[in-house]
Amino acid sequence: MSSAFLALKDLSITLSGATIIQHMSFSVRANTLTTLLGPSGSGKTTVLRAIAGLNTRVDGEILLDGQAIQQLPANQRQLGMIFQSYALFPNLSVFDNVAYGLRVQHQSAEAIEQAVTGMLATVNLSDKRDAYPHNLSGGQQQRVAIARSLVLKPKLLLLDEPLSALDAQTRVDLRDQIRDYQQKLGITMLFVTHDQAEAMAISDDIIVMNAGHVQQQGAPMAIYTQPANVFMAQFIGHHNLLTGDQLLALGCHHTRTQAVRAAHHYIVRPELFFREEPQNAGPVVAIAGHLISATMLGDRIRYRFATAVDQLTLTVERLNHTTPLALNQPLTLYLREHDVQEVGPHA
Amino acid sequence: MLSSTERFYARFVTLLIFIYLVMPILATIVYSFATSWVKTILPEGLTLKWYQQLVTNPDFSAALVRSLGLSLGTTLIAMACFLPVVFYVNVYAPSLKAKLHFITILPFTIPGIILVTGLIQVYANLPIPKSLILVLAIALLSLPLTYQVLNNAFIAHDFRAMFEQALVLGERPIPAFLKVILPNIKSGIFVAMLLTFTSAFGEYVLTNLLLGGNFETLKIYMYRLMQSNGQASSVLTTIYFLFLAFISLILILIMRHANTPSKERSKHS
Repeated sequence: MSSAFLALKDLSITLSGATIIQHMSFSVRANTLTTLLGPSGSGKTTVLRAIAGLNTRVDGEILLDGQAIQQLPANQRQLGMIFQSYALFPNLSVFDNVAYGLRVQHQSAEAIEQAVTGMLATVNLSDKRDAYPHNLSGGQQQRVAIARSLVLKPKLLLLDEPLSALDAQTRVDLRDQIRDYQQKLGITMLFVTHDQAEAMAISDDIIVMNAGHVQQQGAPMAIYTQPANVFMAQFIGHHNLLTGDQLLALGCHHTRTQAVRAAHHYIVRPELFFREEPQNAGPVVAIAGHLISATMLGDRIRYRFATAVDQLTLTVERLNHTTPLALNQPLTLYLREHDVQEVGPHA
Repeated sequence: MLSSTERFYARFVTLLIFIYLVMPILATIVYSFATSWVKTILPEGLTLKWYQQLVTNPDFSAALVRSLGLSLGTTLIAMACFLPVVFYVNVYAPSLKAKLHFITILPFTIPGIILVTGLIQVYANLPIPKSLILVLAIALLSLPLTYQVLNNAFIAHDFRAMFEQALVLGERPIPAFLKVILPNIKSGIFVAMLLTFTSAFGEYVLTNLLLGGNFETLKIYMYRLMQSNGQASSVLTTIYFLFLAFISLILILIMRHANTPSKERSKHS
């Protein structure tokens, strides 16, 4: 990985006697938005807090722009951090909140006025400069928090589930705005979330964590289409995770690259089943069965498809785009063999 | 909905309770102004003589000074001990809250006499003034109240994130506490201080058992007066009552202010 701006080397974190993170290493490239994605309890927030200097027991090395920072107290790391709860200071106006860090640095009143005014314009809150946090909506409060961090031009901005407390529409808007600020201002962001869609939408790079370990790091498309192991296959998307035995029983004997082996694991993505036999697509498997349930997801419908193979049901999506298909009617779905992908064992 | 008869009875009962509670206070206040009130329904005349007599009595001013000193000392010690603990537990160790909550209830379960016996046995031979032991003991007894009020002050916001945010913005821990935490819990601290102050001001059992006549506070003086001079003790009771009523009023005003979102305080113009 070229130009690692932030590098964690062999990081172990102990919290009240329990080792949360063990020998973890990863790096983040400069001027990218990298997401730490993982189920709750996977340790992602702990890692973020360790980078910010808010955890007590940290072993290993944290390199920021070539400098080891793991020994520095939080107030000397020159980072920004955004909290899920916004952490605005309720006794201060929007202006004073944003000016807080500049005042800590004893900057001149004119410099503060200029920097804060500019930053409030960037986050589109110029008209709220004299308002107090409790008079703002959740999205506005989080923008104040972002402005308060960005105005200090931090080397790295850490965001700890910044959108989780917001409603769905604001979440999408603010997510795009955060990406926008990141690209406009050219800063490096490390963004913690448990929401895959969020991670996929804004990231240059995704680091998936589980149980204190990095499971896979890569671009969103690679994470989605090439899960590195069984955990990834189950965690990302709604992939069908099948054993070689099951695939053979369905009549699928080859993947794109090699023959299906009984004890191995394979994934088939739910959007890769077809109702009509695809032409010129190499070997195709026909799977007989019937739909047993339909879930409306808004932009698509997700079905459970019971196959003739003992106890095996598949998740299938994007079979149609208008009215739902009838359930419990005999149906044959087609699968291209080269869409079947092998995954490694558990990490 | 209540019917009109039910409403009448409800009001009637409320009125009775009100009279039952207010009459003694009213009678005491009137009695403190009475020239003589022995065999008549209403006092024979009104006078300020008893007030003058009490206020000019050196025992009164000495007791007042002792009570104020005791209350002030207790309040300061209680705040100095408990505020850092409540802050720490709320910000850094929320898992300790349950244990701390249990400890704060303990003072309720220890009768004054046992506490005093224990304190005397432990400290009798040490060169520590008994008044200091008293202050510490009363501060400890105020723990349930102080803890609860201070703890409630930490519920409103995510103080941990606020404190950590201030650190990440480059602030050192103590200025961060003073600038970010303190202004947002100050009404809670003030309420806790007033409650500690009044409970120490009205303390009788411990003071009497531990120091008795050697350290006559207002409350002990009040009991002594009751034995000898009814009118003088009514005066003291009245003054004491008005003082507490005044403090309660301040408490109500603070609570009301804290509960309504602060208006646009035009600090930055």
